[in-house]
Amino acid sequence: MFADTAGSVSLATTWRLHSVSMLGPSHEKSGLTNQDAVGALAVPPGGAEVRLVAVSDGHGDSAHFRSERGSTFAVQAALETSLQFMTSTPSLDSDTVRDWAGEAQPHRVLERWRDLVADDLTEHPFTSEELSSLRAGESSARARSLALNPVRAYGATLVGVTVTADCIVYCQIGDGDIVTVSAEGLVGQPLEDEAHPFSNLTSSLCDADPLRAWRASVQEQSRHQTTLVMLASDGYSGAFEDKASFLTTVQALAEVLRTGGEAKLRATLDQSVAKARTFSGDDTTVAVLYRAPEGAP
Amino acid sequence: MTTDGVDLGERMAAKPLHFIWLLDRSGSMSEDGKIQILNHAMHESIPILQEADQDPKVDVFVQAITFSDTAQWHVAQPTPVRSFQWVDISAQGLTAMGEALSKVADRLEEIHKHVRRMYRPVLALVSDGAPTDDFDKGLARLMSTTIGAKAIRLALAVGDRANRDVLAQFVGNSEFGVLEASHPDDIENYIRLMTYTGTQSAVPFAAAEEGRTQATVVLDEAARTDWEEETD
Repeated sequence: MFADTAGSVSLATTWRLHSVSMLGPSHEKSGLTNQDAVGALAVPPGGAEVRLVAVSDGHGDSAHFRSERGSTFAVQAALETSLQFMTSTPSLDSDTVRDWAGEAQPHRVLERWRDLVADDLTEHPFTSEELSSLRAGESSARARSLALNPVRAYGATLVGVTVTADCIVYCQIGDGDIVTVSAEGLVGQPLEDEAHPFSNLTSSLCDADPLRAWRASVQEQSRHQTTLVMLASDGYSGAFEDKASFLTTVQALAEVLRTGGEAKLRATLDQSVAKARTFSGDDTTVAVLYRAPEGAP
Repeated sequence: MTTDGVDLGERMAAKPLHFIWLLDRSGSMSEDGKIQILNHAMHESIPILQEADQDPKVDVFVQAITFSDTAQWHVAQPTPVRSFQWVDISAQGLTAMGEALSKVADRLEEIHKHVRRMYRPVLALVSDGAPTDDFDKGLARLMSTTIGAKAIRLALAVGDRANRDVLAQFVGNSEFGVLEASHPDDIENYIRLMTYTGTQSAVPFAAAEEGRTQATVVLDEAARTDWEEETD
């Protein structure tokens, strides 16, 4: 908690990013590459301030054998959609942002992701090796499911953040986490967890009707005074004893930023992610978007 | 210059590894001392599981189901290996392997319902004969569960009369295939191998810092430059 700073916070204006993505030991062992993807964009393009961030977790099992590409496409679709909105909308007032987050954003992200998958399938049809591997490893029901819906091979989740001048838009499909810390040190989750938290099941962009599981919320910056936003694949939170331990750690990370500055934040996050992946066994990706503290070391 | 990070005091916790034995105790297992050797091998497997449990990231739980005329849980509850003791089994009756698979499927679903984080469970099947019930139904039931399909499945065929076809179906495309103990005296070594292989396969060990990869995806070169400067 930042009790000593409550009420006297001066919000810096520049959003910066640090991200780290590490291959999970389970994938390392099986020879898979990192199935997570993370991306960010400055707005305006070429500027110094990062305002668009997305993290995606490819499912990484044999039934989703192209999920590394699926997660990359998910991040690309999210960033393109947000960038197009932010650079082509005349007035980014909160009502306009809310309308976009509730309607246009999910549809355009999904449409773009499916386009990218379709283009990839056209350019790189499934190989006999990919299909024979699936037949050997999966039940015939799964093989039939893939035949009917080849998009399933690209299954991935998505968490994303879009920061406008007045608002922060959070969106998510599937597992993963978005955690915020306010200037007063209060930790929050702008989006509720998925409905089935006690299993490994997750919603996915490759589902038949993925938008049913799309979650989004919009915060007005003047009210929430958010200074740090963490986006993470479930490999990070999955390492913790429980949700409270995870949230406490994010809060502590914000305190490191406040007292130690950006270099300390980066080093600390790197250490924490390296530790987490050994406990979760999963690919572990964390992106921290933060307001650069004024006068911090 | 490298900056050291701060210890956040993260409370990261071990994940459970469920190791489930599926053991044939049909009448034929009483021949040539097979059941006695199997019992001895089960005692010998415990230190291997306990060694895996020493890893702070792993909590090993053991269960065992046996099958003869019917399938019955011999170790009915997931038992921490720290306090696990093997109680010898005897051999008689038929080979209800299919029923055992169905019961394991039920158990895995129950565990998975309540546990958010877990390693892939290990299912270790030992048999010297052929199923006398509906094996296909049992295997289909097991594979219909998310966690059963993802389990690490190992099988040991004991002697010439073991039905290797059904054991091969059970293990699927496992890199280990069906293990074969052509002589009863080999059972102990193979049980040790299954125990070691199961735990090693379920719990991946990370090579320090080797897993770090670059973040991916940018839209254009201008954005890439800015972003990489920001994140490097």
